[in-house]
Amino acid sequence: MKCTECRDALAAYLEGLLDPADRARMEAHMDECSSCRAELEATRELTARLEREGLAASPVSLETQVMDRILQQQAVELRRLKMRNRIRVLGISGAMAAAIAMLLVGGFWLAQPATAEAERAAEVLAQGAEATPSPSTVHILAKLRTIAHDNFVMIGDQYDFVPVEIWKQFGAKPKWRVEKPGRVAVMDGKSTTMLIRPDYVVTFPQPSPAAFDTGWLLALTEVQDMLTHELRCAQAKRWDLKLTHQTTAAGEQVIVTVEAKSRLPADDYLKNKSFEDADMRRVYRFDGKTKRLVGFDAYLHRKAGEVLILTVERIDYDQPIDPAVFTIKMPEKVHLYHQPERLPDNARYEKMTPEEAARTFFTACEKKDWKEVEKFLWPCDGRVRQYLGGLKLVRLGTPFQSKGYRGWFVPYEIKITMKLPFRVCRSDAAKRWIVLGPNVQADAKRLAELKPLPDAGKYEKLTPKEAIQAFFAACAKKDWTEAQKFLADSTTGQNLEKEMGELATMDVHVGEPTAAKDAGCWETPVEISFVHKHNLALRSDNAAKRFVVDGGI
Amino acid sequence: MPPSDAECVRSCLDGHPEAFRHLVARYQTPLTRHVRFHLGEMGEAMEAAQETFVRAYFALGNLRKPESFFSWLLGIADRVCQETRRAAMRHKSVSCDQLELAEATKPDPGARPAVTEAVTRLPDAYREVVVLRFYGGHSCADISRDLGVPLGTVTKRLSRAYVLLREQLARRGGAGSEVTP
Repeated sequence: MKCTECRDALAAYLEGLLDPADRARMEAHMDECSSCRAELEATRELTARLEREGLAASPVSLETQVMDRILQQQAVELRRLKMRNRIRVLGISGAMAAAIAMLLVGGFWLAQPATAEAERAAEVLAQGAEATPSPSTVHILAKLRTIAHDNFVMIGDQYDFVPVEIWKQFGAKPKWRVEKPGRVAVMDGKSTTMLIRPDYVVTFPQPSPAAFDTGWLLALTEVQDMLTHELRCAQAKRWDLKLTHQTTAAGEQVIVTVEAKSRLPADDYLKNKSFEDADMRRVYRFDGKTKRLVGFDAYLHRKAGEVLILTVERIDYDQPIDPAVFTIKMPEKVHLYHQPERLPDNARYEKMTPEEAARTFFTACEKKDWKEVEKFLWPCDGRVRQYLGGLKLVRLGTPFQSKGYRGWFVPYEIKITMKLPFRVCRSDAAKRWIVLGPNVQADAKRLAELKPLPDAGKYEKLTPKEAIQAFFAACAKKDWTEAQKFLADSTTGQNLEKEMGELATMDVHVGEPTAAKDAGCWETPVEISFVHKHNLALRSDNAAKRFVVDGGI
Repeated sequence: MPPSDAECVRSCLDGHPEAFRHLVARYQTPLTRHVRFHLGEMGEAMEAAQETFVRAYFALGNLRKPESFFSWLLGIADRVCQETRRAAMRHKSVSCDQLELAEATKPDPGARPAVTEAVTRLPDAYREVVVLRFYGGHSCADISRDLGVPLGTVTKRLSRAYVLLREQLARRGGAGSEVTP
């Protein structure tokens, strides 16, 4: 080691931040170099002085004063905005109003030479904000393209719409609830809890203003803030504003369209994956008379055109909310989430790179070493085990990061093999075998109602195994008319394509059927394997400082 | 886990002023100390620190690199200090009473321990890490996050800051005078 290198590392040495090898090298150097040794001693004395100085400085608390001043100043700004509207109402000519407004808001408009339409649209937003000063409660019904069994952040045109319902009670002790099919999050004024259906529970002992990625949904309930904020962003970031009118059954509506832009760079992995980081067209619908916000839609911009991603179907203001809404009916037995704990061999995990963590995780899944898997993934229940158990890691890519996320993404390819118990049941009426999904019970009445096919002879003589093989063969060819012949319910080819389309790329192996309990039914193990490519999200900003799986499974 | 600086900044820009509270909590002590190095008097320093935070909040839209929030904050603080000192100078010409008052609030290098005085004179990049480490009580890992620079850079800057500090203290002639309390 050279002296310059040694001196640059002095702080790291004194802070105990060198790894054992570097530490040993440094100590070896200092054993031989008296000048560096003296340097270390002098630095030690200096840091001791600095420590004393620092301790002598009493801590400062400015939070309350600063936040009070900020909120006060913001209120002033909003009043100016409203004043601007009044000028308009007073009938002062456009140019003069704009001139006065410019003085009032101090260059607020200088940022953008607004078109007359954009200016009017901005006013509608400001009026909308004014028309909803402080409701006691807000209740919103919406539909969102998202994953039903994930937290509340992901959006995407590849997902189906799921219903989302939001309740917010304002006041000294606010309460809220956000719900969709797979998850429900509630803040009851004291604590914040999420139920991951059916029986996983995450709870914080404090009343959180938003948790589990519900922040942007709850922001929809704070209409005044949301509109004021949208207006500010549109003006500061020069987003395009448009204004249209529409006559609906409920009366005249004024519609403002905002072309919002993501804060993330174009090539960022998380761009367009959440409401706040997407390039989207946001459409605010206001009641022509009351000026209140009555509807809201968001469209994601895709290459192929725009896709509706969120639609607020109903907003109720000031309606009393049943207190029971702010409680969750819990299943009898629940699994409670806790922060990743320090493990006895935590150091081993702490040292892992994202790639090593991903490899360790997938290797543990391969070996079905669930104890090891649980160090990375929660919940690790039966469904997860069924899905991940027996996977084969094909390859890992180079880890990468996003500006919108504090962890890492590790690209991976895994081969997943699932053994699913399919059933085939004989329909004597239809003279053929009917394939039922895993764990689906036969409906004798339905089977008796089925009609024979015109070419019944072709299907009559199949064995149960041949029938199920023929069904999967049809799916592999995407021959939905043929596949349909093995199903009890008539469903469209489009639906089948959606549900079974992926089978075309999968390996299917049909096992030996065994007679099931129900008469005329056979239980058939079917092994389905496929290669799954995705990015594993890992983060280590927890107390144990080791990587845990945060998504991407 | 508290949110990162960049997350707080983004939250504020997205209309959640409450997120700024985290930033105030994180930097109030080091910022006030930093300002005090400029102004000398504690009451004045707290006033200037407050003003710095409020100005920073309303200028967040101009912050290019949200992960370097603290360095940017220090830049604003320096301007606030300049203005405060200029105001104090104007004060000075008003009356004798006020002159005395202004004198009292003027930075008085002699009143500060030599080491603190030396910290004041460090180049920005070095002063930041020293102020955060010793006056803000942040760990090196925290500082790496606060300033958005790698941990190795933080320790290297600290090492070099120590060299500069010792050189300055030696130049004052009393290198050893304050070493032993």
